[in-house]
Amino acid sequence: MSCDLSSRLGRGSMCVVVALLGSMAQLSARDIDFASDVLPVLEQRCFQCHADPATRDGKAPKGGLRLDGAGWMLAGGSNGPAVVAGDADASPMVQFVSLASHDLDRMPPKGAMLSADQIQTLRAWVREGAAFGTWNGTGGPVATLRGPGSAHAAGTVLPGGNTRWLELFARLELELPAVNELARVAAEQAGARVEAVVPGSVLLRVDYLSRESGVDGKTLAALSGLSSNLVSLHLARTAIDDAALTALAGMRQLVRLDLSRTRVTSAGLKSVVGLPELRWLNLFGSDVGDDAVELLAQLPREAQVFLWGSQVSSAGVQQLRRTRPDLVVQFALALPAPEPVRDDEDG
Amino acid sequence: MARGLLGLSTMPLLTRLAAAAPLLASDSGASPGVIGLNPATARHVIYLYMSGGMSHLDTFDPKPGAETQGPTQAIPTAADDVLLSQHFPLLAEQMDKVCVVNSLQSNQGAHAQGRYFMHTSYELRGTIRHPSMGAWLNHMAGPLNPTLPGHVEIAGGAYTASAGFFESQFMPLPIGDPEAGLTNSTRAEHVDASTFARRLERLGEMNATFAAEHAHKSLDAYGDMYAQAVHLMESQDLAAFDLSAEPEHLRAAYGRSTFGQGCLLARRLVEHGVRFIEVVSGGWDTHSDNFERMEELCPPVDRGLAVLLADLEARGLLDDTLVVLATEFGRSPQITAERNGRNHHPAAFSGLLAGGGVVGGRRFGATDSTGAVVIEDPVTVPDFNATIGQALGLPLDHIVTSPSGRPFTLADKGRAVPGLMG
Repeated sequence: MSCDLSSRLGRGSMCVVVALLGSMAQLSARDIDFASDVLPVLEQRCFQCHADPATRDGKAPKGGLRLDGAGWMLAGGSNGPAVVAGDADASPMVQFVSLASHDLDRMPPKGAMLSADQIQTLRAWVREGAAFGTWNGTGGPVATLRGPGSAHAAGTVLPGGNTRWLELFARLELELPAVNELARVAAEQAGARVEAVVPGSVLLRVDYLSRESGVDGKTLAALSGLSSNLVSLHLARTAIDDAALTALAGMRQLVRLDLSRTRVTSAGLKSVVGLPELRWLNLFGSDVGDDAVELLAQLPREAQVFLWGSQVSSAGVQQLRRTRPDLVVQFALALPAPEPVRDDEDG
Repeated sequence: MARGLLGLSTMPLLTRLAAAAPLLASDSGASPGVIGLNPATARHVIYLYMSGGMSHLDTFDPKPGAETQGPTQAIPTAADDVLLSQHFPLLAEQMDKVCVVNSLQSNQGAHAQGRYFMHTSYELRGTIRHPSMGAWLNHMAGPLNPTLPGHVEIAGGAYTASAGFFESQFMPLPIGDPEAGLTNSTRAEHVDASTFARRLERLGEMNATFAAEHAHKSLDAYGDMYAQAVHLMESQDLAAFDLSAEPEHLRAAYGRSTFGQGCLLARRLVEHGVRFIEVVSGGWDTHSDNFERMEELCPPVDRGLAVLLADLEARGLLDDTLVVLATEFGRSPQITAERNGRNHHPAAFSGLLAGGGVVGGRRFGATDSTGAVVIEDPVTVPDFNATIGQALGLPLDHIVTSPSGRPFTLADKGRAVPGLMG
C-alpha cells in the first residue's frame, strides 16, 4: 500500500517532503547569529568594496553589489541577490568566497582567502535561512527573498509529453496501478526503452529506438506485464504486423500510439481504434488504406490522426472528416515549388 | 534501484503527507494532479542559429513606414497579428505554428561573446568553459537513442557549440556538409570485418597496461568514444545521416542550400532519437550592403524552415520537437550612410519558437516604432534559454558543479517567461 502510494504521489509529494525537511532543519538549529558571527567577517573583508559610496571616496560599489544593508544584500548586484535563503550553493556570496585561491573571480580578490571556519559560518547562516535578526545596516531597497521549494526546486528530469494530454495524464495517474518492476525488467530485456512520463509516475512511455528491425509480435507480447501502465507507445519503423497489434487491445489507457512507417494495414487497426483514451494515432507512411476510414471513425472524441504518406486517398480523408468533424486529421504536406534555377551563381 | 531506495526511506513520511499533498500542489499554481510541476512539452530541439547577428528589421520585426526600414517591405502571414519581411513568403504560410519573439535582449555586442551568451546563458570568461544548451539537455536527460550521439551540429564551421566542463561525450558531433553525412564512418575497403575486430582487440591489449597504471575518467572517456564510434559504424542508425534515402522532390523542396539540407538532416536525426540538433546559417553580419545581402541570406532560411515545419507536422513529429531560431543580436535601425549597412544591436532583436508545445500564430513582446528598444515583455537571453529548458522538462535550479568546484545551472539565473510558450 505504502509503496503504491509513494509512486502514485510521484514528484509532487517529493517536493513536499523536501520542503518540509527544509523547514524542519531551519527550526532545529538556529545557531548562527548574524550580528555576532557574520557581520564581523563582512566588515573586515567585504565592506571595503561593497558598501556605501560615501565610505569609498564616492566610488560605486564593485559589481553593483552592496553588503552593508540587509535590503542591499537581497537586492544584490550583477550576479543577482547576494544570498538565497536556505540555499548556500545558489548564493553568489557563498559561491564567490568558496572559489579556489587561483580563481580570478574568487572573493575577496586581494589578501588571504576567507578561512574555512568563516566560509562554514557564512554557509550555515545562509542554510539556516539567512536571517538578519535585528540588524538592518544601511537598509537598501526592499527585495523579496528567493528560497528553495519554488516551482523549479532541484529535482530530476521530466521527459516528454504535450500540454494537450497532460490533463488526461493527471487523471490516469490517479486511476492506474503501480508499475510492476519485474514486468518492466522483462520488457527492457525484450528491447523496450521504458520511461515514466514524469519521474515517479505510474504512466509509462515505451519506444524501441535503435532496435526497430528486431521488434515483432513477440517483442510486443513481452510488454503484457506493463499493459495497464502504458500511455505512450512508439513503434515507428519497427517490423510489427497486423497480428502483433492484437497485443494492444488490453492497453486500455493508451493515449499516444505511433505506428508510422510500419507495414500495419487497416486490418491491424481493429484492435486499436476502440481504445477509450487514444488521442494521438500516427499512421504516417503506413499501409492503411481507405478501408481504414470506417474503423478510424470509431476513434475517441477529438483524437488526432496522421494519415499522410499512407494508402488512404484524399477522398477517404474527406469522408472521415465528414463523418467525424471533431477528429484532427493530418493529411497534407504542401511543398513549395522548387527554387528557380539561377544560372548566375551556384546557389 | 534508486527509485526503490527512495521509496522505502521516505515511505512513512509520505503516508503522513498523503492528505496534505494535493493542497500544497495546488498552492504552487501547478496544473491538477501530480503531473503539475514543470511538465515537459518537448523531447527534441532543432536549433537554427543565424550566425553574425540577424537583422530583426529585415526579417521578423519589420516596421512598415519607419524611415529606418529602408527598402524592405512587410508581408501579411497566416497569423493575423504577425508581419514578416518580404523575404519570408514561404514561412509566412506556416506562421500558425510559430511564435515570433520580438523582445529579445542581450548585453553582448560582439560576435564571439554574443554567440557564447546565447548558447550558454553565461558570459564568456577566461577561467571556465560553460556547456551549451545541447550539452545540458543530454547531460541532464540522457540520450534517447543509445547508439547515436545526442548532440549534433550541422554546418557549424569554425564556430562550434561546446560541452563546456562536461565530459567529451556531450560535445556536439560536427557535420560539416549535410549532403556528405557522417564522413569516415565506414571501414576502408581493404579491411574486412575480422581484420578490423582483430585490430581493435590488439589496440585494447596495448592500452590495457597504460589504463591499469593510470586509471582516470578522461582516459575512460577516450575509450568510450572509440567503442561508441565502432558501435555506430555497425548499426542501422548510420542511415539517419544519409540524405540520399530521401525522395528527390522533398530534397528539392527543402532547397539545395547547406541550410536547407541541414534542416532535412535534422528531421531525420529527430526521427532516430537525437535530442539536440543545431543547424547554422552564417553571414548575417551585414555591416555593408544590408539590403542586397538580405536577398541572398533569407531565401534558404525561409525555404528550409518553412518546409521543415510542414514536414515535421505531417509526420507527427512537431508535437515533440521544439524548433528554435536564434542569433547573437539584432541590427541597428540606423542605416550607415557610407556602407548602406546596419551595425550590431543587442538591445532588441527577434527569435522564433515553434512546435514542442509552443502555441503558434502569435508574437510575443514588442519593440518601439523603429525597432530600437523593447517596450513590451522583454526576454533576456538567460530567460529565453530557461523557457526552452522548461519546455524540455529540465530542472532550472539543479546545480551542477564544475571540476573546479563552481556551481552552474542550465540557464544561469534565467527564469522561464510566463506566456512565451503559450
